[in-house]
Amino acid sequence: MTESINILWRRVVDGDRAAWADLVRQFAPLVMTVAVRSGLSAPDAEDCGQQVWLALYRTRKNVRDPARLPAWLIQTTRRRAVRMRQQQSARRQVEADAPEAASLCLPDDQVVQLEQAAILEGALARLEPRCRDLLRKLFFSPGGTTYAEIARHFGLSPNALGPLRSRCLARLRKILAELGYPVD
Amino acid sequence: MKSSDRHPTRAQMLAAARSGPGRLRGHLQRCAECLKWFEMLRRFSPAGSAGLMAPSEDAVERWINVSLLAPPPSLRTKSSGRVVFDSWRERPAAVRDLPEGLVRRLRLAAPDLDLEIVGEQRRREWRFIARVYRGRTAAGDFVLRAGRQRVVPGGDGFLTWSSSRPPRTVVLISPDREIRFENVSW
Repeated sequence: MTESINILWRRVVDGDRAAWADLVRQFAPLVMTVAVRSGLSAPDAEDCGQQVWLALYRTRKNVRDPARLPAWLIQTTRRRAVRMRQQQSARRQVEADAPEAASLCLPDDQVVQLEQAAILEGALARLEPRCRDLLRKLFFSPGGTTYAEIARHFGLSPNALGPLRSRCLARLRKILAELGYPVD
Repeated sequence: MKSSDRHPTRAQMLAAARSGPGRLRGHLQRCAECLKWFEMLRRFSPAGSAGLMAPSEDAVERWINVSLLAPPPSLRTKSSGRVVFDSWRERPAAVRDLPEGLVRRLRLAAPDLDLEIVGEQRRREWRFIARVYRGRTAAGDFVLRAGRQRVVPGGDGFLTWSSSRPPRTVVLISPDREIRFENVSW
């Protein structure tokens, strides 16, 4: 079932643990990716993620626009990751050639990409498997992969790919709109 | 059919999504389907290169379980527990050193649950793994406060953490309870 981020968030604010678990699962890859790209090791990134989710849970009643959650998660994770790296540097006195925490900040264009990726992943996860796999291939497989090759992968004729893509795309647009991220 | 009326190839669409419609503009004005696909690609195809990484399932469980810490402490019922087993009491200090490091096993008991902790000293830090049991069943609904650290349970209720110093104070916290155990000296 598709649930708008606003409805899901309302349930989270009301203390619904299942809704909280859904939300964490949806955006967990985003938090992990930002923490790792900000220079943390995987175990440290997971600890950083714990701080981020705890901060979000504690301040959940103050969130005004749940659609901005991905952006908030990215900013908070970046900030906490940088702080963790600074603390580590101070503690361990890392080698002189180790990069400074500040230099590991994510560039803004990457931040936008990550936010879009998290939103798209959340919507794709709600599609039926065939549509999800098809759109993943169409969006994310290397540019050299042709429509004919993708059609063959799905056991379709090249002519049948277009109508299926249209149907899947229409569903994806609907889900994105229901989630609170309209494409138009 | 004029070449501009043919549907663009995937490579052409991806290139147009990256750098603008260019020569495809005419076709996109006539073909509503291609226009929709182009708009979606333009918005989301860069996201494909973002390559999101999945955290471990254990980490996701821990992240979900941070909600256990949320209610204010004033709403929790307070109780206490004590140490009922300590491996260091069983063996003299001289034989505590194991080849892989110094290990201490503790069992702490509250009226309806037990907390088992194993601590292992490594070169620079102590590593701990703990679990809460109700009878013989592992309970994953407690956060452990070990010294200043808050340790959130992962998959199967395991609490794992490391620190440069072992914790003197150990407290178990659930949304409605707080169990403070007697201090442990190291």
